This record gives sequence, C-alpha cells and structure tokens, in this order.
Amino acid sequence: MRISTFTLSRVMSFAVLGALTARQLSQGAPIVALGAAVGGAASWAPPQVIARLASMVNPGPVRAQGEGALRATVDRGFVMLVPFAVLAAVAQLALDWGAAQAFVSAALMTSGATIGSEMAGWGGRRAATAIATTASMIVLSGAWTMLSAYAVRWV
Amino acid sequence: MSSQSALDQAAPTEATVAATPPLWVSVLRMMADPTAVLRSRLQEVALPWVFAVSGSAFALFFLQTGLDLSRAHRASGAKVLLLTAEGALCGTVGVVAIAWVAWVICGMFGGARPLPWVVRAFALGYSPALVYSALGLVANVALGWNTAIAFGVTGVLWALGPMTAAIKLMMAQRLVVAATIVTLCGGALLFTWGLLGTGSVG
Repeated sequence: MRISTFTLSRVMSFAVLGALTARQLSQGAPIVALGAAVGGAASWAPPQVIARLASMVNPGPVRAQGEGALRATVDRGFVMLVPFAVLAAVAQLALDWGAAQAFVSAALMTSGATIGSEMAGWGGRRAATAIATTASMIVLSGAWTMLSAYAVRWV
Repeated sequence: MSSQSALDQAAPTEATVAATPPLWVSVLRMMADPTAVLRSRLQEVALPWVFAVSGSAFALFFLQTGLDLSRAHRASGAKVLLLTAEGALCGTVGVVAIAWVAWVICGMFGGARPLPWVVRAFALGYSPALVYSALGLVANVALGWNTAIAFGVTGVLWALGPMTAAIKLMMAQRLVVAATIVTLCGGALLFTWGLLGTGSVG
C-alpha cells in the first residue's frame, strides 16, 4: 500500500498532538505513547468526515471533480496541521506551556477552513461547503476535548 | 499568468466600485472568510486601522498576561502597564517585522505581492486574536480567570489561518510553502510573547 506524504504528515501531526495532550495528563512514557497511538489512529476520521460532508453539501461540483480530486484536496488541506503540531511541541517541550488543546482546536479549524477555501474554487454552494468543513472540525475539536477530559479520570 | 492570479489582480479594481465597509465588517469577514477579504477588500482598509486591529489584539493579550501574573503576585501595576505597552509594540512593529520576513522569503520563492499589501494582510489577520483577546479580558476581569493562554494564545494561533491564506495568495496557492513560512512566523511571535510576556524563553 502506498502512503502519500500528505497522509503521513497528517498521521504524524495527529500523533504528536495526541502525545502532547497525553503528556499534560501524565509524563509517563506509556501514557505519552498511548496518546500518540490514539492520536495517530484518530487521524483517519477527519478526512472521512470532511469528504462525506462535502459530497452531501455540494454534490454536483464534487461529482464533476471526481472522488480522487476530493480526496487529494482534503489530504492537502490537512497539511495545515503541521505548523500547529510543531508549534505545540515547541510550546510544551521548550517553553513548558501546557496548551495542547488550544493548538488542537486551532489546527483542526484552520485545516477545515483551508479545505473549504480550496473547494470554493469548484463552484456550486461555496458558502455552505466552507461552513460545513469548518463546522465539522469544530465538532471534532469538541470530541477531542471531551476525550481528553474523560482520559483524566483513568490516568 | 494563471486564471487564479488574474482573478486576484482584477478583484481590487472591481471592489473600488463598492462602498468602503466599516472596519468591524472587515474584522468579522477576516475571521469567516479571509481569502475573500484578501482578494477584494484589503486595499480599502486604511493602514492605521489595520495596525489598530493587530496592536489592540496584542495589547489586550499582554494585558491579560500581566493581570494573570499580578493575580499570582508576580507583577506590579506598573509592570502590567509596561506589558500592555510591549504588547502594542509587538502588534505593530513586531507584525511589520514578521510581514517583512515573510515577504522576503516569499520573494525568494517567486511571491509577487508588494510589502504594504503583506503588512495589511498580516495585521488585519489578527482579527480573530482581537475578538478572542477581548472575550478573554472580560473573563479575566469579571470572573477572575487566568486567560493569557486559554484566550490569548488561542487567538494568536487562530491568526495563523488568515496568515496562511495571505501567503497562499502570494505563493500562487502553494500550500506546503505557505505552511512552512507560517510555522516560522507563528513560532517567532509565540517566542516573542514568551520572552516579553512570561520570561519563559531562555
């Protein structure tokens, strides 16, 4: 199976953000490794959610562009996770700021907005597509926050 | 010239026909759809106003840092005022410096926007930070919360979205280059805050 650089960057970024979120709960290596694993595994969901939503909200242009173009655009948009993962690592490891959640929220929202902006060029229901991609990332950001809060109970 | 570049070049001329929108409309639109503002309305916003946005955003962010430190008995009233002034400086001179660095790097990769456009784009890009900082100040003063990281840092991070949109327009939509430059610029601003605001750098 061939994995693109974009896919790899998305999985790595989620793994880093997962590890940093877990590190705020406990600095033990197993917990941090588990956070990285959960983050990496969770990286599968956002592109699926955005691709399905875009197909539902703006079906004509998405069908015209094709499934491949949709996947490629979504994959490219999640490159915006990388700056936030790097800055979150620097903030927590070098500056000792425990703010991983803020970086996760901003990373997801910016990625959603970037994908919406890229798809706006396809025409059709541009505003609805932009709102749907960004709003879906708000929901996923909320899910991440709730999962983190739940994890506190058993760490 | 690509059709996208042609659209970017043509849009400001078309926009001059429309009435100049109030600053708050540009601030809100910059939060919701930065690319549209950057393509059509950026030249309509006067330079002092864009610096009012970024300067106020950073001044409020640094003020909250001072208030958080003051609550922990680590800063006097004078220190809080000094931090606020440093924030205003960071939001004006600092943003110009960051815009200049981005302009130089983009120029090396073939970016073709003039420096005043980049400065306007970066300064107005701190619209989300201004809104977040204002909300944070309310929570800080009214509820006694420590808000510098929860609201201030979050706001500055949100500004990376408009910054990316601006660099993408400069770089003919090359997202990977934009993401790299944004990482450098965002890191520089966070380090500056860490150095001036919290002394946690070095």
